[in-house]
Amino acid sequence: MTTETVPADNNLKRWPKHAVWIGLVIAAGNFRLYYYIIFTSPDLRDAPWINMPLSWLGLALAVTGTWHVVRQGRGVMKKGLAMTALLLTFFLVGLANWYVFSFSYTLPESFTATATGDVAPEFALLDHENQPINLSDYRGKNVVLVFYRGDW
Amino acid sequence: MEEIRAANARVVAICVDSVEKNAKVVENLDLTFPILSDPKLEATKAFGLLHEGGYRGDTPDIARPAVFILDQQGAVRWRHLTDNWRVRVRPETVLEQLSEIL
Repeated sequence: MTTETVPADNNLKRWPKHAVWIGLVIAAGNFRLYYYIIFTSPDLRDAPWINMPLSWLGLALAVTGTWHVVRQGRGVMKKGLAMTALLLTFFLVGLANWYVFSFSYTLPESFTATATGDVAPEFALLDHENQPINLSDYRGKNVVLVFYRGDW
Repeated sequence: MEEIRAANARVVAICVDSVEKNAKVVENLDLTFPILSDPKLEATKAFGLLHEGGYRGDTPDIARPAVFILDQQGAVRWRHLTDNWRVRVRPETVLEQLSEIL
């Protein structure tokens, strides 16, 4: 019979301990899921509001889990592990949310760009088969010109 | 793509990647339109799309994402400059715009 002062309910003790790891797994899973989503669903990609809450859930679980571990006076090693897991979760969730809500908005001003009504500037570039292409080659055709950031 | 051709339009993509990298992308994604290589940012700057320090891979300066629809005389009839680079223009939007122009 131990004389530690721990809460009487053993089941309640166990659940919060694992919450940290579940939180970390959810956060990591959310990260991975995001990259899957952007390839398969344009709707979710345009509006990550469905995916990001999953990351917040992961963080909430990790925080409450760590809080319980610390409060219940578990061993130093367990506290340390929980803290590490929490830090990792925080990092993953922070990175994902920063990317989605802040970083991908960082673009230069748009007033410098060629406007509707302007004649598009001429250019002469090489295509992927090393053939020179001029924009004027496309006179007589409508053109959908797509500038993108480059491949990953 | 057939719908785009039916609208007498062609798709042309441009980015700062090299010809070799673009060739790989065309192959991997099975593209039926050309990707032009703009390593010196000539076209990017001509269209006012320079994104300094945008940093993608090995080039620090890149183009900010944009889609232009040009008519048969080369005039810009529609453009889309996303304010969030994760968000791409949908093909349906382009087709809609093309049919409005014709």
